[in-house]
Amino acid sequence: MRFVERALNALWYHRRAYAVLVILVGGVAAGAILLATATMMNQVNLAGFLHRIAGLNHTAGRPLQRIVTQAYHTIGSHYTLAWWACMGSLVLIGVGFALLQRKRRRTEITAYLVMGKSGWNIAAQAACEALIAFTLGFWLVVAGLAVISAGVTDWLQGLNHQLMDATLRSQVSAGTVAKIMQKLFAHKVTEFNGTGLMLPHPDQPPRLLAGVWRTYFVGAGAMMLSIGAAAGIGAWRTRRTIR
Amino acid sequence: MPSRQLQLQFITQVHQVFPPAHITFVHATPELAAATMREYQQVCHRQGAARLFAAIGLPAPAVVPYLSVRSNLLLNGEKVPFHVLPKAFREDLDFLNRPAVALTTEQSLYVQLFRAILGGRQLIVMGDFPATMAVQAVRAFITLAQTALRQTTSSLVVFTQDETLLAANAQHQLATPPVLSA
Repeated sequence: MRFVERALNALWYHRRAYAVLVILVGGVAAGAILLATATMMNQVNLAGFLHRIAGLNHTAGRPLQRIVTQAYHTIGSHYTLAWWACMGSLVLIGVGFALLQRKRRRTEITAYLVMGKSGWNIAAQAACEALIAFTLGFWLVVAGLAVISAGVTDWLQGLNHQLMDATLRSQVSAGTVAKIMQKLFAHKVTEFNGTGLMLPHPDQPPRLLAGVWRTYFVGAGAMMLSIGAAAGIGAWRTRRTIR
Repeated sequence: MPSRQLQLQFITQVHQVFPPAHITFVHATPELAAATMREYQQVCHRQGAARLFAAIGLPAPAVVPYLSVRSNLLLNGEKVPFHVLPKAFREDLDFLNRPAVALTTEQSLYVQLFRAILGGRQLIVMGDFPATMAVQAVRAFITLAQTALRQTTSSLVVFTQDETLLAANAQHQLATPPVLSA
């Protein structure tokens, strides 16, 4: 109880710095959630494509299936990489925050050490503060995104399609695709055309944000580790000066 | 031997040098005082009794600015009941609930002493009183400290160069800092 009281009081005391931190992590969290959602939509689109091309059941579809699947995977791996970059930037934000705060923190760290609190205890308190600040920024952003999730998912779907177009065009010429399409769709009645094959629109496109909990846990871990470790190192360095 | 028993044995030794529930005044220059306090701390640390030692009145910041005075007092736990504190201090709710951000040197010294007492620290050491503290304030501090200590087993050791202070407490004074042996 007293531990949490300390963390909350410290949050309030350093409220200006923490307000900036909350805004920063909120921005990064928004990016990470959008990327996770785009990854999920990418996977849904790929599944739709594979389902439709299997339904066409034509040997000419084989090379197309390989190329398009490859393109989806490329985009997906870029999304995943960018998501991890977001998590990495949370670590950097945490370290930068701790560095900028270290002078103001010196007083309280010294006081805790003089009282016989361990470096672990000090680090744990900083990590607890980081967790509270991250949780606040994160869920505010999630709430904001959830309100406009329909617009957000539509925009992401559009982005997915654009990226898909660009990736495909870089790998195979439009003429080749058109030729394959002609063979595939010859003498067939389908509920979709060539574009609908490559970029299927499910009747009810997913309107939900994806990867929220994953982003929350990994992000919270990144924040707690970086800020906690920085406080622990600060305590260790301060201890050497006062003994 | 269990560490608890070792600690108790060590504290018994400490109490033979510095009687419990009392203030002992030791004549020492500031340099000697600082060196001795560091030495005592290291001895306590070696004996696994770091949590039974407290140094107060150091130039380093000693209070957490965003906690109330009361929370600062209880940061080391409440191994000794709160009511050992002098009545005037314990009932000054306005002071206790105030954030510890703007304490005077004197107030901070009280907080540090009472925190160490409440935390069950058996050996509490401090250097000379700050020059800004008037003679009356020092006398008041000593009186209040004695009142609080009397209900505990803690010993307070004050290293000072002030001859009047040493003379006024002749029965509890030492000319040189004793060696704490392990």
